Amino acid sequence: MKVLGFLVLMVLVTACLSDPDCLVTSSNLVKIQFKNLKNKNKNIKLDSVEVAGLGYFYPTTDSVSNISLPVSPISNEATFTFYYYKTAPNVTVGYLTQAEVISTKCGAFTNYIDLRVTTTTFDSLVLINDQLRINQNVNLEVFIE
Amino acid sequence: MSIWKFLLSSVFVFIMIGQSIGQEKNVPKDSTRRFQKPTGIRLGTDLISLGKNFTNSTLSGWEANADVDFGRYYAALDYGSWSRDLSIANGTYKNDGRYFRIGLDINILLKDPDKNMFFFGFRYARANFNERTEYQSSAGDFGDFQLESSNVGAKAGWVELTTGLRVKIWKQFWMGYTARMKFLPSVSGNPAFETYEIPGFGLAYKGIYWGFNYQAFWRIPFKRSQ
Repeated sequence: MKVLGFLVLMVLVTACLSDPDCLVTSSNLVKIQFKNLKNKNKNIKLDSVEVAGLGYFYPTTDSVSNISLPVSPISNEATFTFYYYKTAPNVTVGYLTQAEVISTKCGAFTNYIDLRVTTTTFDSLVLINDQLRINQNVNLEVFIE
Repeated sequence: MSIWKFLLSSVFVFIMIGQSIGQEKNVPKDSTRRFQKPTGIRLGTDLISLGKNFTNSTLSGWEANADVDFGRYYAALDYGSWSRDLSIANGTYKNDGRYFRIGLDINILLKDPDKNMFFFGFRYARANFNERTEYQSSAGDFGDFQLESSNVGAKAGWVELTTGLRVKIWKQFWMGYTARMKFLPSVSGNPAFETYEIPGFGLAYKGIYWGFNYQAFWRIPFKRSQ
């Protein structure tokens, strides 16, 4: 009987939940981690990174082991070209933009989901996470000798 | 477990509950508990849905209800229309759709001469709808955008447990209420749109939702009473 009472109470509490918090977790940044062939993080000295349709990014530090690059909400594809050590490998990723209304008070925002690698000139690259989120872990791991 | 298995098992459980409520040992079987030939159909509407057209500026709709008696069991069918137009913090949201519910009610009042009802029941509901949002969005280095997205031809389903009253007011005129607990919502539609509200159900992110209808019915008997 106590269990039944508890279940009824839980149902009532769940049903009375008010609007969700205005906690927006989506991001339009793809986080790329550079790794060596021993699967350890690798620092590389990037001269610049070109984001197609947006321009060039110049890293503010001498060397980086990861970088977050933006994708556009009005496209479903993005190409990143990395200039370093006189080479220029690139990766093109596809993704789906998803509209989500949280509540009248919080409004709507865009989720970036279903991230996938379309083409790449890197020797080895692994998709780790197909959703772009704030404070997320890595989306792509790029293996460099 | 599929929704159909759940529904079949729910029907079975409800019929078993209906058969067993109030049943005492060593008492001859009561014919009022059995399925019987239907004697009439009740057609009605939800007065709350109609009232919301005047009191709620964001919602418009209507709902028609019907039930047919099979002794103490009532086959029930509801059909409704729902249209929402909302202002949200950074834009607008609209939906428009139709829904229906089908199910069974079990009358607990067996000996009432007017066949007044206090019932428990269940429904399976489906909705077909469109929804659309337009909103302002910032995408960092790419700048600010006015975005729009729509979910055309979306479909949803859910299950309800119901309880309520039907009281004969005058001749063939009946009134009553139905309280409903709606749960297990599922939606299929455009993956580029996360459904916000399901017509007939409510906000999609809520797993459980309460509903209440205050209804007026007119009963049409199948045979003239002697």
